[in-house]
Amino acid sequence: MLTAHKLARFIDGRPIWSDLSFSLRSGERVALRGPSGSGKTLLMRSMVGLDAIDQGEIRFRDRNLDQWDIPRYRRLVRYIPQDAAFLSGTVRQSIEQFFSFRANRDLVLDTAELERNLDILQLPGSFLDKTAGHLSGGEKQMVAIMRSLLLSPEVLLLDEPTSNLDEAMVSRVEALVEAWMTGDAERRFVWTSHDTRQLDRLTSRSIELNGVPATSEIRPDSSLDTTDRAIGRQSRTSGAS
Amino acid sequence: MEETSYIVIGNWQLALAATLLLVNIALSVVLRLGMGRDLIVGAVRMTVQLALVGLVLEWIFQTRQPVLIVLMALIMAGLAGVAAVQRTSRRFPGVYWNSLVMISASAFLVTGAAITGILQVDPWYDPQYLIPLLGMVLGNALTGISLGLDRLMEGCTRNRNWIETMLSHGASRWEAAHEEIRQALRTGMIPTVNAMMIMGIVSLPGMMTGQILAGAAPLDAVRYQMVIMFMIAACTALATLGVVLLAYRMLFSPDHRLMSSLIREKK
Repeated sequence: MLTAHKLARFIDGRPIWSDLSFSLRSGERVALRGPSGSGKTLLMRSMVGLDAIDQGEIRFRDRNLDQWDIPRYRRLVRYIPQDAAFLSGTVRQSIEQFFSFRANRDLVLDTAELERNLDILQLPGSFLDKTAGHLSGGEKQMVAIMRSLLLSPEVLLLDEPTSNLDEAMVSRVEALVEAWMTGDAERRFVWTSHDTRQLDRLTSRSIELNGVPATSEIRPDSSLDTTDRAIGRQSRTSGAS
Repeated sequence: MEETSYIVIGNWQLALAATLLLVNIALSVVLRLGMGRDLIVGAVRMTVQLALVGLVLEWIFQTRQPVLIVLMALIMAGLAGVAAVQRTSRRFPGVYWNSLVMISASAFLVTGAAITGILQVDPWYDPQYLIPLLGMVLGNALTGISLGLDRLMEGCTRNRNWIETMLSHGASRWEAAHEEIRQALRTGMIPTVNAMMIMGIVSLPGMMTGQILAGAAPLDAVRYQMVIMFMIAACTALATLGVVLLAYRMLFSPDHRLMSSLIREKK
């Protein structure tokens, strides 16, 4: 189980989110919803320690984030940044490079799995020999997701994973993540998207970030102030309705 | 005045040399190239700075007080450490200390080893050797540090997304930073390596030329130049490595996070 307990993050004294608690259980498909600027990316980054949290704690497998060897933790709890691609070399080399990290050394690149992934994405085998400069934004996004899944994480935090993809590619990426989910009962993901229908389709539950109203600083006596206390809350939605 | 093997330059001769520049300034004014002002400011600064340094050195060479010589060496190292950072376009907290500590440590180590171990100068603080050798080593280390630091911070800013992608896929901070560190060191060493590559073919190095002008035999001057180049290469490599590694420890936290918010653009 991955749990977040009373998380808060302040920037320039202003809470981005605060008193935010939620948990992710095995097999869950969760949407992270909120208007832009509500700190969805910041929350995902904080969940893997790429950004600091000011209050609260994150626990995974009964251990606090501070008690984890962070590379080891990130191997299991995987955040895929927006525009995560690679700089040089071919697609295959960039995948192999990630297997060479110390925390991933016990993993072996499963070529059969790689081919299955290419099949789902409907990409030719020659795609692996493409170099960074010859990939479109959408192709880079597909490389990033495929590369992450090959390293078999347990929890996946996907930040707008299909923002650069056309409609046909979106459904292939969704199918790829779906295939990964069925590979192991422990697996779970959190997904952000501007496309609420995609979230309704893929997820069964939501974490909502309501965001701080932009006007709350300008109008100190505003009734909006009351929302400052608990701007992050968890809610259940009825899933694909 | 003691006997010298070279021609002493008098005031008139100095003034005559300055007129060489007047031709260029006149050309610049006539053709409106806009270089006149820079040339004049540069020439005046150079003249004043060198005249002052000459006076200080003359005094130090006459008194031969070890305390004064060491003080002079410390001031030189301090100025070099600050100047190295001032040439970079990005900063992070503590960068001045990093530069000061590393440039002093490596320059004193290398110069000290050369003076006591290789040249066996007696006494070790003889300013005729200590000051020029230290100065040349510092000047080159300064360039290495500023280029290396600039490249590291530039890389960590420009490639932030890629570095964080590696981190979030299980890379340790060292694994994620390694390519940027490598590039920073390479960049810092480029001037020194290039200088060694072309030395004697394209250019006659300034120190060697100076020794020859002062009456030294060319083969002796060449040996000095070789020693100083080994010293410069060693010191630049040490200082650049040290500063880049300290910057790495600052910019990549022990819990494997890129602290990009620490990097500030120069105002």
